Amino acid sequence: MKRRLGWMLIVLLFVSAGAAVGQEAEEAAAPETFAAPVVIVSVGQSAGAQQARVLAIRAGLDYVFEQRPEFSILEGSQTLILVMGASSKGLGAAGVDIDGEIAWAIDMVARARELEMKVIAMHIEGGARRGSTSDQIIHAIAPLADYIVVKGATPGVEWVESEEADANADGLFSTIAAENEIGITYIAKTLDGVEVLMDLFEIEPTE
Amino acid sequence: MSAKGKTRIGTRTGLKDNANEKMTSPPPTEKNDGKGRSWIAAGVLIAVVAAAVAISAREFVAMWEDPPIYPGPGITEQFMLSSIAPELAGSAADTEVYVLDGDSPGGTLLILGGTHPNEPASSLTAITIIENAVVNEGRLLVIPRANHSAFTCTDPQEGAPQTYVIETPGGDRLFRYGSRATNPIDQWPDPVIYVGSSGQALAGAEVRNLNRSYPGDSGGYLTEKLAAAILDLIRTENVDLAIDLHEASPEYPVINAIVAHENALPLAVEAALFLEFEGIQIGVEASPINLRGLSHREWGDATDTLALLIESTNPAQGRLRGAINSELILEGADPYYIRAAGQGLLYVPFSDAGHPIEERVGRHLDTIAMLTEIYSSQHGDQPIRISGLPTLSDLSVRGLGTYLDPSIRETDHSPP
Ligand SMILES: [Zn+2]
Repeated sequence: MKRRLGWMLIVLLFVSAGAAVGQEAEEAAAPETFAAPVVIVSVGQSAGAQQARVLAIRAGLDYVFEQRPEFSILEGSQTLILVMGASSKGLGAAGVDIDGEIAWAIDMVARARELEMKVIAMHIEGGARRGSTSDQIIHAIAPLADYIVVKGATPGVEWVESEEADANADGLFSTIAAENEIGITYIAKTLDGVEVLMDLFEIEPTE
Repeated sequence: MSAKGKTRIGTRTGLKDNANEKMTSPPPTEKNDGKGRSWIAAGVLIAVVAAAVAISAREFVAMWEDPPIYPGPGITEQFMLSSIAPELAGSAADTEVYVLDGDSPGGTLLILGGTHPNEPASSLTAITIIENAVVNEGRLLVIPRANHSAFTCTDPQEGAPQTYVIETPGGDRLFRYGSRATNPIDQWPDPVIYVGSSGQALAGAEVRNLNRSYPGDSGGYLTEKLAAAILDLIRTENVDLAIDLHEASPEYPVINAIVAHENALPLAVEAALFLEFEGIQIGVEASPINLRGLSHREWGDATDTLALLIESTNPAQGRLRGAINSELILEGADPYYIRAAGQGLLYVPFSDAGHPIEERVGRHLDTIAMLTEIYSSQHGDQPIRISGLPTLSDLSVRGLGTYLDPSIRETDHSPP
């Protein structure tokens, strides 16, 4: 019963809160829009890219998802979404080390640029997915993007979620965004990313 | 524990006294008196040793008895795992399977508690389900003591108690705090290196770890037989979704997390997103393809089931803790972990509040509820709908004991 109410609340939030998030994003940076189709990939082989895939489905985005694809997947698409987050087990399973992973992602971005695609860097697993390996990825990849979406505190705004959910506690993402003049949106819960995607890709709610 | 201690001290002192008497035996003229005294001494000694042995033997054998589980209103059937795996019959690895059949058909969910009996939230969650859940659609199988043998001993040199007590409205209720691995009395000796049924080479002691023994071997070690039987159950019952419940120490990176076989990854990811929306932070880790022998890998590889493992936070099994006692097991508060958290050494927040058993069982229950809800939304023709389960907030308000009250189960079947 309680859970049903929760679901209804989520639906309501999707419908009504889209506008509010949109305003926040506009305040943070010049209005930036992106075009579908989208390619979603992982940099670091954590489950974050899988989460982004769920966000894309719920946002109604035309996407393809592959954890670590060949570059040919880019052909015919307009936007590349790189979901950053290192998992040592994931990297081990993919048979790559962190340096190889970063080099691969940089080449992927270069190929996307050749195809005149735009690039979004996402970090949506919170502070629990920060650490030396994940930070190496963030430092190398986030500055290459046209836009950043991060689950973490907006500078100057009190963080009310749990500590481990804040990936921007040390201001790393705000600093990278400011230094490179990249638009950025801060979200409190990963599911908030649905509205962010709908806004960035100008998708109208269907209900 | 104290009785065992006494046994040893008594025996050693006795032997020494005996030896001394032999060496200083009196001259033959006083033979009669001396012999009378030593007969009495020997008699007393034998009586003391016999009493000590009897007491400790009773305590030792008592560990093989299972504290009762009280089937709740949803239980429709109960059988022993040996009924599908006869090689387990009569062994300490044989264990109960509880079945909750829904009113209408749907998918089948398997919940495995007590893979590692030193992770109490695991079997407590399974027992809470057995005693409270009602299945509306689909079918639910619950194994509360997956490694039954491991409940009959504790890990050596850890100083863990054999039991802990949960207060319920109907009185104190005893639960067993067991070992991570099969009791050596049931499976011995360990090889130097254990090359598992999966082919993975591991340290010898892992031969008794159920969660390194999959896919198992019905002709292998006892723990491998058990693993094979659980996989047989998944196959014969056509289990669609299988969840292995665990806990981890706060300094272990995979904690407060769902570990998912790649087939189950989309389900786990979506459940985690919605759990976060309800205020529960839970990470998702993909089951590494090169880490063999574990439930989330082998169940998913060997069958069509969606295989998942869930971890909560248990400081009692960690390395940085103080003494293990009922308080640490149930309250999950520990000053050394607070200090470690201050130094940034942990993978979960750790405050004075600790990680009480209500939080850990509640997280498991809410995660199971969310997984079944998402599963049902993704498989409309195979829904699994369960009611009657307390949530994390129910447990935080009323306490776990409210839902494990034996007096309710003994008298009627109405939910608390
Ligand atoms: Zn475990």
